[in-house]
Amino acid sequence: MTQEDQRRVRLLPDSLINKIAAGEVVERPASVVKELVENAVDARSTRIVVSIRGGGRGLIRVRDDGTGMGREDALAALQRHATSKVRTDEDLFSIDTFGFRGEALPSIAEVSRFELTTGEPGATAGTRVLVDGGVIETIEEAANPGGTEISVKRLFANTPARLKFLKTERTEMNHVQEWVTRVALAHPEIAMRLEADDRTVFDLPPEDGLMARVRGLLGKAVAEKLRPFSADQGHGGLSVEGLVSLPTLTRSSAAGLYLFVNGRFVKDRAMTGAVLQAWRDLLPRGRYPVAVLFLDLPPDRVDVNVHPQKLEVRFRDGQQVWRFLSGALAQHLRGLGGVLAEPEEQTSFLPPAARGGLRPRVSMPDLGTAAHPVRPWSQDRAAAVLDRATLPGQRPVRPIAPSAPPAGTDSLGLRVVGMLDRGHLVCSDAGALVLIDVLAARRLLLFGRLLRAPSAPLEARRLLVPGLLDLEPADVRALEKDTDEVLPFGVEVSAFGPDVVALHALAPEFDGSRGAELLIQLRQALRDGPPKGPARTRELARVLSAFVHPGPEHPAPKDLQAFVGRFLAVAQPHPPDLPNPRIRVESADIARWFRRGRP
Amino acid sequence: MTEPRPRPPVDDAELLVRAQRIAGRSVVQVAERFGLPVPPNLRANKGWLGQLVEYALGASAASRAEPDFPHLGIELKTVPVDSMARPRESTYVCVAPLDGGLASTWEESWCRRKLDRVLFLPVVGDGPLATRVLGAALLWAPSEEERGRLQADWEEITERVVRGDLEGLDARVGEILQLRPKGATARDTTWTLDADAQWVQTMPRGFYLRRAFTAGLLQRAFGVASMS
Repeated sequence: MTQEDQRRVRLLPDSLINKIAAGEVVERPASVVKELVENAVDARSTRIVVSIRGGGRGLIRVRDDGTGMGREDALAALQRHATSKVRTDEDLFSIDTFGFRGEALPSIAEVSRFELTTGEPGATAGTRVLVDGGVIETIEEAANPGGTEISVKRLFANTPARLKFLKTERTEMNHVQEWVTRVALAHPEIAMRLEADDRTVFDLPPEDGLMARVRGLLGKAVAEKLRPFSADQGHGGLSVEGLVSLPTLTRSSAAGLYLFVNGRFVKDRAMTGAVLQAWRDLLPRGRYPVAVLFLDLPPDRVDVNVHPQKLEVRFRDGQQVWRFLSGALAQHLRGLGGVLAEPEEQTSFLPPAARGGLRPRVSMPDLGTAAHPVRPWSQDRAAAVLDRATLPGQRPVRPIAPSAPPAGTDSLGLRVVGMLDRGHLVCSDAGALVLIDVLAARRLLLFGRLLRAPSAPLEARRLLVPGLLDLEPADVRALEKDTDEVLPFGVEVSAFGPDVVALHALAPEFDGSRGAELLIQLRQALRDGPPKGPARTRELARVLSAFVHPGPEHPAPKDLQAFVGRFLAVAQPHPPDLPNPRIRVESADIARWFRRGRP
Repeated sequence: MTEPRPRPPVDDAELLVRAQRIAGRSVVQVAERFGLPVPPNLRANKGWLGQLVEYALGASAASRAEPDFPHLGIELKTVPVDSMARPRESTYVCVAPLDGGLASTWEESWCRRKLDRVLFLPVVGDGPLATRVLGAALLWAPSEEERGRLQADWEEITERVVRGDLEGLDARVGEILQLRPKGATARDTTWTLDADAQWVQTMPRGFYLRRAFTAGLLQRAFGVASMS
């Protein structure tokens, strides 16, 4: 029988079907990804691309450049217990491929809209099969994709009960990523790409070894703290190799343990226990090492047909595996004695020369820029602005971020050039320089709003910390009478015991952290201000507007431009009883400063 | 003059009035009111702040399985926050019984009972304990949607505990409810059954509300100002 014949898909005999434990294969999107990616590996692919939308609810697509299938095999693969990987009872106990049950594709096709496009190498055309909820809708000739592409849409659409059990998109995507990561670790020689909603999660080239794959997948920082490890039992047929971490790299869970048996990722309690046993005296309780370990043993000494998703395995002699693994790892860790005795990042008071010339890993910040970072807008524009605006010894103007809208479009010709600090905006207006004091401008806006408060009340929100003010009981009673009057201004005050007044709620336009001060000023304005009418409203607005919220520390550029627009709309004429928020310097004055035109 | 320990409040209104009476006051002011000494820090007196607030509000439940105000069905949670009402940490709900005492359904669980109605009491500031200020209380009950999310998280976490998959169960699991280590020291351990049905010692764990979730509740209640 040729190798090609061995790989052809056949229906399993009934006796063998009964030997395969029943169980659910498709539990969540990650199980679909697992099955399809493992099929792609079994098909001897050199590149696998996994695309996910909506955490797998929207779309799961796995594309490979493996051996592909002809029309007959493609159809047979969709029948339950049709597989190319097992033929006899004996084969079941010497499995060296990922899949073998022949359950995956029909199970997935049963609960989704499933599209399979595949073609054998060299064939002029391929086959496309469309299955919806287990019913084959289309079988047609298609362009040969040079491998297999499977798209799964509307997963669990016909099994709402199962759909309900799915978690958030993020959680499901995490499970998917976990699975692709595991396969990528097991097969550094295969290029792997994972895409999620048009974002590339990782794109790994084929690698020669595990370390390079780990560096690409888990990061350089992790790779640097991993050391190669291998052990061979010799006559027993057990061997293990991989990478294990130094004690300086630990995790709070066993999520950093990637354990494989004959190339298959497993979550085996005994194997995890064996690894942890070796580390028992080296790590604090609750900390776990990071390790990528491949245990190899003859297929007939391990049963992988224990779990529908093949996450668990059963060793013929579990104790022996446990002893071998924990013993070999413990020996390896003892061999690292020198490394273990010396923490990687130690501090020393000795000068570098006395420490063997090691250069201290200290980088000094550039004080000139760290204190007042310059955020790029466009390089040319930022340079131009800085060139114009910075005088020797002065702080540079911080240009606004790149997403700023074209300046001046919505603020009557005044365009925001940048922000000096949280307090002042630098604007230009037909060649003139305009400086705006943000707090004063915000106060002006709030003042205008408060003048309208009697007819259009501000909405108060509860304060995280109520403002409390201790007063004489007579003052408390007096203020209590005025509480209704200040409600429209977004200020909710009440007596709180005989000698305390509390500010419970305040409109978000105010600075809630100054509640007690506000109460003092408010009490004075209510007591000493004009008796009633617009003059009283104006006085209350003047006093209360002094407590305007300073605004966010890092406003978005578009908000700044809109803010300036609103400010200009109310700024003319400027009320004489409020501080002026704007200083304008004409270009002629600026030119005079620089003594332009003089020889 | 110090006040005696209040009796349990008779209804929600009385509880809220008591909470209002301590809101805006510093920790030392509240402690002085009841004649209680303030420890220098919380490191050696973990839980003192919560006990102070329980004392001031008249909480009665000593059982870990019951809400702090059992007759009102209200659990009290002090939440350390910054001045923008952002919680500094996740909020402890209840211990996760790993020794076989996990309820079989969400409805029977301690978590559900503890989270039916919660009085969140923010504690503002991160300076010396005495200077921290008690914020306004927020009485919260989960909406239908929130209840569903809590249940889904609880079921996912519980299922993993029952399977003995504690190593794979870290704080990333769960959208709003998560399982985190809960022990005064690293030496604290509890017993659990592993996947091979063997008793093993492990770190005690507790159910916690994620910080982002509590932050959302507080932000909706207290809000923050914007540039506009």
